[in-house]
Amino acid sequence: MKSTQTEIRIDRIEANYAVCIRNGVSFQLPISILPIGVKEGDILNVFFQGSNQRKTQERQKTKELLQKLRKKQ
Amino acid sequence: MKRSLSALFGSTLLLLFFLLSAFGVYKNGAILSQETIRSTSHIIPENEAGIIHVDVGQGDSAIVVSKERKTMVIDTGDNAVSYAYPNIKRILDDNNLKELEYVVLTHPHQDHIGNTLSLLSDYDIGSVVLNGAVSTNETYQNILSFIDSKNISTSFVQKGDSLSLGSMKVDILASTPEEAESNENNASIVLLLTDGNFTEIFTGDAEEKTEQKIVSSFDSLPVDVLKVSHHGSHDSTSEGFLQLITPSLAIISVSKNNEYGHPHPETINRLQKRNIQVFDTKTFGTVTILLQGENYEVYTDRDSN
Repeated sequence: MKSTQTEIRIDRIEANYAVCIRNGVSFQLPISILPIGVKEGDILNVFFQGSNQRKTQERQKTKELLQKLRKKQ
Repeated sequence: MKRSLSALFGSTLLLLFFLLSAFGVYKNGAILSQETIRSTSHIIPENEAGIIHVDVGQGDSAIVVSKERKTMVIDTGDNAVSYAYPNIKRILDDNNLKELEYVVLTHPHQDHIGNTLSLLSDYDIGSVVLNGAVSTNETYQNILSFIDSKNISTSFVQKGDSLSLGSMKVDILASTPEEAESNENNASIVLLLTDGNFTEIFTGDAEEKTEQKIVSSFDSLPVDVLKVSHHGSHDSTSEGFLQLITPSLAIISVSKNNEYGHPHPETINRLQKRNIQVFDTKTFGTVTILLQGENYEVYTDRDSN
């Protein structure tokens, strides 16, 4: 998976969500995951990088939970 | 005496007419009345069976009640929709349903499993029915941990399995966890509910690939009602599938102004071309199918106007 970088603009803050705009399309992000003090009009650079290691760990966690439940059936 | 009995009968008929005209009521698909009532259209009377497609906004949740009051909840909507769980809970409570024989999670997407922890906490659960898909969804992991910690019974179902819900029968037509590796929608548990002569198919978010597997397994599978897959997305409800199941009625669980374009006009067109009457929750609110022997009636929270 390739990493990507993009720019999003904060249109407004609605309750606990920031309404963001990218290429004219709006979407919501919880304020809790954004930099502290973010406000409307701010422009954020966002860097996305996949983590295969974390994906494998989380899949393994689910597998183990399912195995445990199957054994109890 | 005869006269007063006749007058009483007349008044009762008049009252019945007013009561009926207050609902959105449809008999075997045909419109009886299209007025609005919001408070009692989701009640399944004692000794009767029914299916309630709960208005959970953008998500899926249905409550099936047998005439013996055995109850199955299929999916639990998205916890990001503020009214989803309150609607599910209100309907269960208004029907005095405290024990849920089965809670079926068709697949581990948030809009189908989002309120499961609340449901498992608030009600007595017989068994949670799972497809066994491996997913990184955190809510799913929390549900599995909760089930383990509370020693709630689980059923990992496969195609060909069947469940009993009182006098109702539930056949598993598809459940393919291995599909989740590439597409969790196609791992969806697909159920066929039978109550006497009535049948409804619940498809989760199964897409055309899973539909085709079902098509290749049956020569004929006529159903009365289709719970349309994937909120009416264009990647489901294929021509071949509709040709196999030939439903009279289709229910689409979807929110107004969703960002995904659900339901897709192509899907609506495929349904309308076959004269299948469509009820969507964004227009009609909660849609209740009351099963009455040979017949069924559809009650809606709102009319289409």
